[in-house]
Amino acid sequence: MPLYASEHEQLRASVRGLLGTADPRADGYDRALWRRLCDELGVAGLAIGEEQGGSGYGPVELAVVAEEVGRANLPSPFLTTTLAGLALAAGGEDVGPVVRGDRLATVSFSSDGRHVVDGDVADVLVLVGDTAGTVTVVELASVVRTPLTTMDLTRGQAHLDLADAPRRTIAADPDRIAALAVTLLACEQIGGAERVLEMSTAYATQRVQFGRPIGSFQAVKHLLADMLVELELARSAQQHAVALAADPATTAPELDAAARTAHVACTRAFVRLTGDAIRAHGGIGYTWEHDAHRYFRRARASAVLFGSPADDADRLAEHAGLARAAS
Amino acid sequence: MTETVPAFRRRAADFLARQGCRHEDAPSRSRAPGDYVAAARVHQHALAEHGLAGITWPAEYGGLGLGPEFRAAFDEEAAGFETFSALFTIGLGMCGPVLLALGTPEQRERYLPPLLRADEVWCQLFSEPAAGSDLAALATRATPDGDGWRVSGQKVWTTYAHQSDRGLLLARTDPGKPKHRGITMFVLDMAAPGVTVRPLRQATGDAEFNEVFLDDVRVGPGDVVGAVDEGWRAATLMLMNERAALADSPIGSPVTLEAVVALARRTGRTGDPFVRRAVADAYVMQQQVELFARRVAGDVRVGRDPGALASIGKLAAGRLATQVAALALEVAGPDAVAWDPADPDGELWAYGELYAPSLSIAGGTEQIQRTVLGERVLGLPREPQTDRDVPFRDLRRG
Ligand SMILES: Cc1cc2nc3c(=O)[nH]c(=O)nc-3n(C[C@H](O)[C@H](O)[C@H](O)COP(=O)(O)OP(=O)(O)OC[C@H]3O[C@@H](n4cnc5c(N)ncnc54)[C@H](O)[C@@H]3O)c2cc1C
Repeated sequence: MPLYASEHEQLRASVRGLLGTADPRADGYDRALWRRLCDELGVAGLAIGEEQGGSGYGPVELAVVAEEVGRANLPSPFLTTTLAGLALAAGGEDVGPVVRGDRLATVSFSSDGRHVVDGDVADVLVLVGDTAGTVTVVELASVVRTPLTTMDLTRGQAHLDLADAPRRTIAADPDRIAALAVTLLACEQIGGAERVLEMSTAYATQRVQFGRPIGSFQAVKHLLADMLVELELARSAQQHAVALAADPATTAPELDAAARTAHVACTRAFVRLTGDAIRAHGGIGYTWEHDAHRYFRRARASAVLFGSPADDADRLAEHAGLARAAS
Repeated sequence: MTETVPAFRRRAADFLARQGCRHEDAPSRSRAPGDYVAAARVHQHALAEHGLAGITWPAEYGGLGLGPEFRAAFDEEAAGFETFSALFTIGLGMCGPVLLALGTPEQRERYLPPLLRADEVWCQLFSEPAAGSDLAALATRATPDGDGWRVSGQKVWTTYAHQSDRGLLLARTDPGKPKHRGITMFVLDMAAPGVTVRPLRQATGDAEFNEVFLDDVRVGPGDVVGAVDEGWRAATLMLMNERAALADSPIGSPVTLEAVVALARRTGRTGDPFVRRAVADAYVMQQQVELFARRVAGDVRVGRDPGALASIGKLAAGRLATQVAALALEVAGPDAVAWDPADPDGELWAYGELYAPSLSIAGGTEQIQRTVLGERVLGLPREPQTDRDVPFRDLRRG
């Protein structure tokens, strides 16, 4: 069964329509657009239950939106506020303002307050799986923040001084949030990778050197073909992870294996395709004005956004049958 | 009465439990090729006897007429069992579908049931010494002879020709036309007078592929598959099925990730960070290959033709086999390249490493697959072709 049905494609068209109005070169997120996404499509509460003010959809709908956000390379708090919102909702918190998009929530998977994604703009922080394996919440209003200069021009980070910040524990499943985080990130990565392949294909068809389109040269054609292979393989891992996240019968180890597989595969694909896209475009692809480097920047930053590649490798080796390394 | 998937699955599991052959018990394709082929024929025959062969083929030709979900259920049950796909992929996965699509009713009735029962094994007589990637440059000639033709020429790399009863042959019927337009596909009886098969030894040391010499071999009008001079269409269809089949089951790549993981456990290297990292990488690749195959099959189910997308699966399956074979050599260390002759499994890792390159050549090379993807999936412009409209007889070849 294909993952997306016609209602999902309608959602995709709506999101793409709205994102088409975004300024792709804006630094920092476009608040007016975020308002419209929340008011018109309810993206901030898409997968939160209706009784908590959300739309009551699930991972598949989130995946559609995340793919479109990635495709547009949109500066947007969508990813972090969605994940944090789901954790808060699971913990029985009042998520009304988050669902409406009035309050921005974010997540972090380490408890030291460093490199908090969207930590420059968020109002509340969900710390997932810190030392005790719990989920805790920190209000950020009075926390001291040091916004960071980021390679990725579309997503901010900050170091937060959490030393004296009060934390409250909520009852949410840290493993599920972690799996969902890398799964939705994989969706963004696939959207971005798909877009740079389209850009490269269009350019290779139109740019003429030596009297013919450069896409007719085998070196260029084969480069793009390999980008396609990498994209479609990674997409299979991504869609599988989404499907398992949406299926209540999925066990925790299954979800972990699928999410980490998608994380590794999509990270690799996004980095590779965005780098190759710059190369396929030649000099024009290396200019500041061209979008290629913006996607490449996001790819590199996304690779270390949630969790570490070393941890993924260790856990995936375990899923492949090598018992956990003694530490 | 229609059978449900669970009922079918039970029937399949039942058959496999009683008559299936577990991988570890199957005769070695490499060390006991004769036993392997004999066991393969017995197995396929038994499948057919138990109503488990030709799952998706029409019932009127001995198939079961079921949907791909039944095939998927069977494949799941058959994990761990030898399916002898090395011998049968060409006949069942490639020749059969071509006969179903383009064969006459008489051809289907005559050839498909024995194919399903393994009473007849088929091979693919396409490649020639001067026509590999450029298959349309083939020179084997079919000269008119009464109502039929006389075929002369040479085929090469013909897998299992020495074990085959029939094959689908490409021959040139009109050398005055450009190369793609004067080819015809024929059913060839491998026992016909004038057919000589000579085994060739491969890099692994095995002899599975052959040279086939054709000397004035008679074929009749009933042997034409599709239409005269339109063999290129039939050839393309067969190649598409070949890629899909190779993507589906990287034919018997002998070294699996599971085997490498077991080796790492045996040799106490489970904690080695290098091994863990490399195993994780291979695991991710393997998952992607399997999930891609499933996704493409799902798309077919809703009526989309995977067509050129099969090239992705084929490329990826070849790369996966290469990656896993290389990983095995790293984990096994010096034991992989020098072993005690008394150890029957000693050569496995070396064999796998030598086997892997064939997967990026057979069924269209790595380069050809990328060209297919670039042109047919991405829609990139073709390279200028100087030979497309030139009559075959005026072409430069070799
Ligand atoms: C194990 C095995 C089993 C096989 N079984 C069968 C079988 O049963 N029946 C059958 O008919 N054939 C069979 N083949 C043949 C196989 O299809 C051919 O070997 C293959 O298509 C390549 O052709 P070639 O060997 O002539 O190499 P060539 O076409 O000469 O290629 C040599 C190199 O040149 C490259 N090359 C050629 N043309 C281009 C181009 N246009 N652009 C870029 N690179 C190019 C190739 O990629 C390759 O790297 C088998 C091969 C193997 C290895």
